[in-house]
Amino acid sequence: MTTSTPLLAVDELSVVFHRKGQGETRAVDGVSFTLEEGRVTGLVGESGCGKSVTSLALMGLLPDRGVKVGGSALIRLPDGEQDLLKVSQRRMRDLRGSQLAMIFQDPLSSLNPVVPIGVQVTEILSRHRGMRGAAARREAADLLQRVGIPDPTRRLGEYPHQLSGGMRQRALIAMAVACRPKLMIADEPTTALDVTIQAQILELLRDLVTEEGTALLMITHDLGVVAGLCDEINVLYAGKAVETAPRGPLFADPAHPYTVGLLGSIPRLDAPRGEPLTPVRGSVNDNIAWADGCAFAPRCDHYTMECLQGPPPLVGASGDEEGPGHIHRCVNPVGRAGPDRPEPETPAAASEEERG
Amino acid sequence: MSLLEIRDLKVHFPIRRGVVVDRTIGHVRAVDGVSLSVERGRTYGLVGESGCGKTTLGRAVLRLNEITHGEVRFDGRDLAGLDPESMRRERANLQMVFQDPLGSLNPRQNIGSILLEGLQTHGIGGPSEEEAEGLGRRQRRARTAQDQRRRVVAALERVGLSAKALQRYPHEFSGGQRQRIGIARALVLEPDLIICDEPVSALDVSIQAQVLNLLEELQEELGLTYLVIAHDLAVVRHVSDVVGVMYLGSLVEEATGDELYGTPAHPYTRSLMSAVPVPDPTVEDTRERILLAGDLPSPADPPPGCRFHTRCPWRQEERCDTERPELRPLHGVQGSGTHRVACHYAEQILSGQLRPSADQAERIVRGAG
Repeated sequence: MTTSTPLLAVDELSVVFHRKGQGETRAVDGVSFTLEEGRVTGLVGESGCGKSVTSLALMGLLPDRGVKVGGSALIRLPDGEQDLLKVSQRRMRDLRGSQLAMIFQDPLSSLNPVVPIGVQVTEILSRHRGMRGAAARREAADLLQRVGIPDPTRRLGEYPHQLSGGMRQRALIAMAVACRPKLMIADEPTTALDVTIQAQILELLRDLVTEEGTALLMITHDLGVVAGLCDEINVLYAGKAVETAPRGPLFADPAHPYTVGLLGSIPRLDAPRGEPLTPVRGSVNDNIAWADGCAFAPRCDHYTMECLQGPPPLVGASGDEEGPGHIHRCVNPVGRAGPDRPEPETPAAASEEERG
Repeated sequence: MSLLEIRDLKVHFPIRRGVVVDRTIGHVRAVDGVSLSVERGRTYGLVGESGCGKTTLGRAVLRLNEITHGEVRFDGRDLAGLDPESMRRERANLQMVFQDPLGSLNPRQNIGSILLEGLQTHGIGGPSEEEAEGLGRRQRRARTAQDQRRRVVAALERVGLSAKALQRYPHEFSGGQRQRIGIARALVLEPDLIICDEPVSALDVSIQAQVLNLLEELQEELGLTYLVIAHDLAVVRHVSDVVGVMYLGSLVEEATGDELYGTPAHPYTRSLMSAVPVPDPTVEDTRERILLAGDLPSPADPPPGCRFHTRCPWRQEERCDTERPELRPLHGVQGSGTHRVACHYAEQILSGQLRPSADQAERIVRGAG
């Protein structure tokens, strides 16, 4: 896309949880992506794919003990380039709120219930921008106004429970953009909201990205949200990105069987009644470890013996028509000329009776 | 005759205040005059956002919430007037599948016991009258237990689980499997009507699709009737023959799925549909989005006139804020003639005679992206 260095380059990020007596869990297993100013990058996947852990690792919000974070996340800051995974806690506190911001799924539990909204917003302004008193309150009211909260001066004195769900999420976004961060991470920001409110919030995020040039990392399970908002999309499965593509090619011509399965699972509003859904069979419990082969193989209809010979490498989607940036992690991609594909067979790992 | 017929159903919850003297100071009008009918063997989808009363309506059909006013006719009988014992018996024919599969299964009961409970409560299964004659009490009981177990296993197999599940506990299953168990629990009584309250919203998309497919297969095999309650318009459209849209306690529009999607007439339906993201970038870039201003008004103090007029982009002077529109047939549209809408100006809106005012809608975005 651009020749300049990206705002954030995440390279081979891995997060391993150790628990006494339970061995280790590789929640994130070598994920790489880049974020650029004024663009939206999506991380998509189902529960347990590692998308939230990725964001927590970037924000330095994982606990110190029992977690090993590997790889690098180079961010371009005014005072030079830094690796987010290696900066000191003190430095991270300065960065969070000023350069990095995060919006969480549940706006009620992300706000302090016993502190008025105004205090929570001005706290950030005084911490990072040194604003005090009336000036801070004025700025806070401006911020609330900017995210579309009517009557902001009154709202400043209210507590989180007095606001509706959409309003709370707006307040959180106001706090996130208070210091004009370069990078914003939104972890399922609309999942707890009704669709009409979701549409309002997505519109707000879209405006922030185009007007402020913020780089947005959008984490969601909803491919519909992704289709409307993201420029580039990473589909995660069991801690690895299985497909990365600009949004056009990803939806028009998905290569990885998991992406195809996800798209086939979603009932579409513009499809007639009873149009069959073609979901992925089984559940994530059927996975095998990436070290042994493709984790998705036990649920895959295109599975061959080749899939079990170590982790499949990332390869470019074949053909020139797809443009740059479309890569996937499948030895037997969907709809592409490849080795002779045998008839789909049912692997033993997914026993029939334990469906769903 | 329709299997389920609801007439002018109202469910109001009192708001109480006071420590010594308990006074009722108002009512939350969760369901405020809904009429609808569900045909045998069909699926009726009820859609709406949180707080619109859809769940309360579903629960009221089963009398899990007391009915304030109105009739619920099930197979000709009015459930609203039944005494508790007759209602309890009636529930063998009306079953419910809940949203949260873990919360609705007792964690200390194994699956066998969960599934058997309904059969035992309703005394279903066991030898027939003639067979029972000449059998001792112990023999009769053994035969009954045997028959009930057979039914339970059959129900489990129908939902894609095996008899191995009987001895296991809810926490040992994944979310999708738990929801299958919830469905099996409803199925085992061989009900006529299953009310599914958000049956898939707690599940991941791929699992969600598996469960939706299962519900559809079961309907084909067993001729079940569903009342599906969900907030996800796409899910409802996928499974339903007829879709009803609720807003603040009342139905604002009702039509077959195709008609509702093809010609949504009520302003709320239109904005609701325009808010649903479609997993297709080309559609996303070109479709019109109607962003509603503000939030849902409080059902304890609903606005006068049309309930939607406070947020409606098509609002007209006078009539909308004073006169509450009835659910009436939509005129002048080709179709099955079952399209009903509660809007004074639905026809004018459809024909484009009335345009949304820009200051009413927060913004109408065309081809954003």
